[in-house]
Amino acid sequence: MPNPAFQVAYVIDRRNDILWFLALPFAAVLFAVFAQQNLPGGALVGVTLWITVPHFMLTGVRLYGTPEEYSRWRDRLVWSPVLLIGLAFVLIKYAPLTLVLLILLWDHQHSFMQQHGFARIYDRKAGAGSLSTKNFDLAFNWIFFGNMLIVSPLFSTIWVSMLHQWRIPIGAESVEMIQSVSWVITAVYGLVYVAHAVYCVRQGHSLNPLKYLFLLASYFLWYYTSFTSEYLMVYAVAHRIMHGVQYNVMIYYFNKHLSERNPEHPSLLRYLAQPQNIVVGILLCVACTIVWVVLTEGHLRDLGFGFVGFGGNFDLFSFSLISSVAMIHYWFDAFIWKTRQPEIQKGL
Amino acid sequence: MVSWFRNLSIVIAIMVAAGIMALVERGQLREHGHIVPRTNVKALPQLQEEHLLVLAEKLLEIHPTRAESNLLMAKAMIEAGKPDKALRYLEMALEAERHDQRLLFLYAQVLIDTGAEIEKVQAVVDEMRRYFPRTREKVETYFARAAGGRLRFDATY
Repeated sequence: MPNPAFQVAYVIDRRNDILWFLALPFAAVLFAVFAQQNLPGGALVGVTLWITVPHFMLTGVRLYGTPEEYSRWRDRLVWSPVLLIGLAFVLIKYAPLTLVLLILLWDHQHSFMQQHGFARIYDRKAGAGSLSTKNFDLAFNWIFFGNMLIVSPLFSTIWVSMLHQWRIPIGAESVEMIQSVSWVITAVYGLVYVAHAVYCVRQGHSLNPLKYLFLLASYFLWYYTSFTSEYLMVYAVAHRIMHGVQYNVMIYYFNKHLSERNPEHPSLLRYLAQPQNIVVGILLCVACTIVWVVLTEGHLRDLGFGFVGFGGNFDLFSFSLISSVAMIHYWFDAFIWKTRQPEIQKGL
Repeated sequence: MVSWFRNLSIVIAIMVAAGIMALVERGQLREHGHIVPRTNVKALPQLQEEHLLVLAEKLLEIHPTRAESNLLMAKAMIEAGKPDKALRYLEMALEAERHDQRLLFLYAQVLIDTGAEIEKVQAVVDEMRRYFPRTREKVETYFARAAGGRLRFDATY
């Protein structure tokens, strides 16, 4: 019997997928627009503290709290933080432009790779697409996200400024040309992507419509906020809500599935996976957020009996911490979510 | 040792690339002096003098009504000692975006420098205090001094 043209499968289940992967991007845009018009500028700080910081922490809980994962990645888990904290410290002090560029580019790559990862899970669970679909999906994310960065008023202002800072004083005509080329590449690739989907169906492969709806919702958030807002905060609030919440939901269910399927799963993670203990997980996130605030907002000075935090390098240290934790998270995420690995498939 | 390098090859590659870029950045800074010296480590790098003016002109050509383009031109005008012109660009920037602390701060500062009515300054500073509670205390201290004690900070938000 031939495969159906459409085969629906969920990352988690119907209700959770609709809520977190399809509706959340739209809700995040609404909240960001509302926050921009009605909330103080501190709204972004609130989103960062309540969503982004816990999502950094949960990566650490998963990796350092699971003996199997820790032993698999031991060198990386021990040495990467040392190297990246050192790198951030040196760059902040001697080459801030390089640090800004590095974090900005890595952050963007990390953002669209997360959506690419979810898209792959949709296909894997539905058994959809051909062997080459993952390459088409990857190229789709590079091109469409890259185009957003190049052509949107919000980000074009940023990259033109950065090029000037790097002594590449690009002019209006060149910017216009680059943007036109980017639109053409994106439009052509959009057609190629559709043609690949049609090819898949003709070859007897199914498509998972939810993958496309998910990508549509994600790209709606990115394009809408970067084209309609003057202020980076609107984009940042919407993006961080989508990115952080989806990550937190995914890691919760990943851990839940592992604890159900693997009898040797660590007891703490097994405990946190139980729905009745979700409050403990949230309290753990709150505790982590408080530690983050203490370390990065200078409160260590108040807690240190006057001995800690008053050295000339304290601000440098706290800023290194913010920058390096982000980089460590980007790096860990780059290798711990490979859906082709059997160990990862156990948790999906 | 070989496996250590293999496991960390991407991080090491990133460090090497960052190191090369850092050398380029240091060289450019030495040669052109185009970046404002930082007063604190959290400050983002900013262009200065004619470099800032060139960027502001280019951005205004690309995005004439955007807040960021007008803000940068206003900064360039302030550096050039032309606060009246800066005021015009700041007002255009504020038409596009009212909730940007950098804009409101600079606008209040330029209003004081150009001898605007104190009520006008008070309204902008109050707007800043309302929208940016995290820095309210610093803003009050700064503008109390800048306005020579003519501003009042009785209202709480």
